[in-house]
Amino acid sequence: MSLPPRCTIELAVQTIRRLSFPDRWAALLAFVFLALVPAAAWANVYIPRVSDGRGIKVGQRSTFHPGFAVTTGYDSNVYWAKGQGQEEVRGGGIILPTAWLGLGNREVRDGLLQSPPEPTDRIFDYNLAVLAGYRIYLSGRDNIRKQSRFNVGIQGRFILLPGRRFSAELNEDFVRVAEPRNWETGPGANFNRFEHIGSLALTVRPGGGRLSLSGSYSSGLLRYEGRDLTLYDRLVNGAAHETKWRFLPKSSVVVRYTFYNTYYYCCQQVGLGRNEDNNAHRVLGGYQGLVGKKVVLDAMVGWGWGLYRVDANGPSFRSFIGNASVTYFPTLRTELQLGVERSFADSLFGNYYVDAGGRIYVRHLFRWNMLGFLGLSVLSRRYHGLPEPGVEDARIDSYEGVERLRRDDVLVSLDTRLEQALGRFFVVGVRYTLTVDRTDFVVNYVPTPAAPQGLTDFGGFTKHVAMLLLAVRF
Amino acid sequence: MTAWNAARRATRGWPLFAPNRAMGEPGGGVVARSSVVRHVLVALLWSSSALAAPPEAQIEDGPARSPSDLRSSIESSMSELGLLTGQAKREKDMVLAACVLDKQERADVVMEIATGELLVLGDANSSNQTRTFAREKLDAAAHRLTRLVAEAKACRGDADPEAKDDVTRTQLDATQTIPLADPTKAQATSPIPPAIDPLRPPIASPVS
Repeated sequence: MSLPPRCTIELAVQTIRRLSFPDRWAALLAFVFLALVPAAAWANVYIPRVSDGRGIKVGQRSTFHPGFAVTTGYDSNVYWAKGQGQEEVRGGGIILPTAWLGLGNREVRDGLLQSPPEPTDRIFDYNLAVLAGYRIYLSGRDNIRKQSRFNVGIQGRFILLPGRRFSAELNEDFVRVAEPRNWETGPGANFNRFEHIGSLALTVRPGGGRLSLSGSYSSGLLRYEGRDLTLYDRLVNGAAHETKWRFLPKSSVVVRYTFYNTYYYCCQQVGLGRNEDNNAHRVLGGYQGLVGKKVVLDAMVGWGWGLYRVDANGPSFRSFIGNASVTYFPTLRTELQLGVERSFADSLFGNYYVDAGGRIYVRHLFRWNMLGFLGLSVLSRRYHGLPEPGVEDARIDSYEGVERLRRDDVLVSLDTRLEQALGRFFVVGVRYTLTVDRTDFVVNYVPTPAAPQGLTDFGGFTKHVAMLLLAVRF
Repeated sequence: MTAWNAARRATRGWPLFAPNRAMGEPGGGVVARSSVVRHVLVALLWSSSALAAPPEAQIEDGPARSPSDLRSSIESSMSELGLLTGQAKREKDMVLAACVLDKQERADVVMEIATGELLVLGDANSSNQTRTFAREKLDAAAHRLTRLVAEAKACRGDADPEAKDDVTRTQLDATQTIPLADPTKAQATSPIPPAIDPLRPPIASPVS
């Protein structure tokens, strides 16, 4: 099939130009809705922002998007506590001044650079964004006030020779996240950390674009600032391959293989502390692309291996994995997704965890320039290979609610956002996030001089975060 | 209003052109003759007005452009043609290059004419009539160059990528129905934040 050599994105722009004024704006904003999702899963909660506006034109194709927001709200559970035993649920007000800068010639949507698969006259697509915020807790309790911290995220997406016979893609996410610990402690005890996730992918399209073969190198780093948490510092190196056959311009069958080697800096004696080095392999195959005109299907199934060879008595993962999501776009302004997944990942506590569950979300841009988002995710998570009390972790005396060193949780996440543009530059928004972890898991710590009675950590929590944003954006 | 309608309106109400009547009715003998005369007059009016209408005026609307505007337009067209020619040469697509070069050569001829008219317009000793004619010719040249640029761009649309070209074939000419540039890419991060940050330790000692 020989198709006219015209660029999809240009056609999209032409289509948008043909739309009436509010529709045009809606479509444009839909492209950039929630553009920046940094690597850290919670960073976009700690550094809230609003969607980009029209931007300031820089050069021939690039657009500059600066913005500033002041957020105020309330966090019902600063320490993610369950509120049993010695734990107490502490709430606190929040003030969050945030600022961001974005520069690019393509938008980023949910972490993906929106570069078309077809070649254009461009030789370089990119988007670079920096996002920073300082979280200030408002509370009468000194411990909570001192959890005020600086968060910053950098996100880069670069593609050289996009859509051509040979192309190279570089992705980088770097964040510094500041989080309170799971106990009310002094400001020195926290989960503040640096995270880096990067990848370099080389893609060859020998058949003119239908067949693409890509190989990539991935790198990840996690480093906690608290020196008592060096147990969790890790380095990840990986490689991946993807073979994709686009049997239609926007529909493809894909086979993907990924390999990650995780190396923990801590502890000379491997096998202790249960943060063992491991190799994770994943093979997935399936369909990705358009079904009909307005439905995107992503259905991948396969097998995973999480091999913990240095852990003599620990379990390894060998099982089915997969994900399927159906995204329906009734218009360019509306998106509705339903997805299910079963996956595994290396765990910082225990060997690995397996997630099984689903999510549903809808986002819509109303005609009066209001962006709305409503999402719900429910996951069943099982941690495997918890540290054997007193043997692999001398700090732990015993567990409760644990069977064969497995911990079971049910995780619920509800996210609601509304953003109303006021004119060209001002935005007012509200956001509410509910996160729930339901589990019977309990850890009893060995008594120490600092805690002679021994401490008990109850797993699970319920956390409400409500925020009001006032932003100036371009 | 067309010439035909103008002629009909102009002749309406003349006694000679009263409504037709059958032979034998009062005035019926006049009708046959008057009908012939009317048609002859209408034909004459139509042909004269059609001949008098300037063809360019039917194609191009809008206010007349100043010589400086015309000069800018010509320079812009020539520059764009140069870019298209250079791009076609770089892409090593012989069909595309030949097509664009043809347009470039035609544009060069038009440019020669335009240069002469520009000199006339710049000459202080030129008469008003000469300057008017020169401006009209320059206007025509500018329009011609604009068309040649459009034709050169159309060359690209017709071109078929060659086997050794770096241009791929799987391109789509369709109305956009989803706001994703490439739905064949793996679905991105879920916009719903997870209940637990995966990089947050599930537990940690309370004693630092």
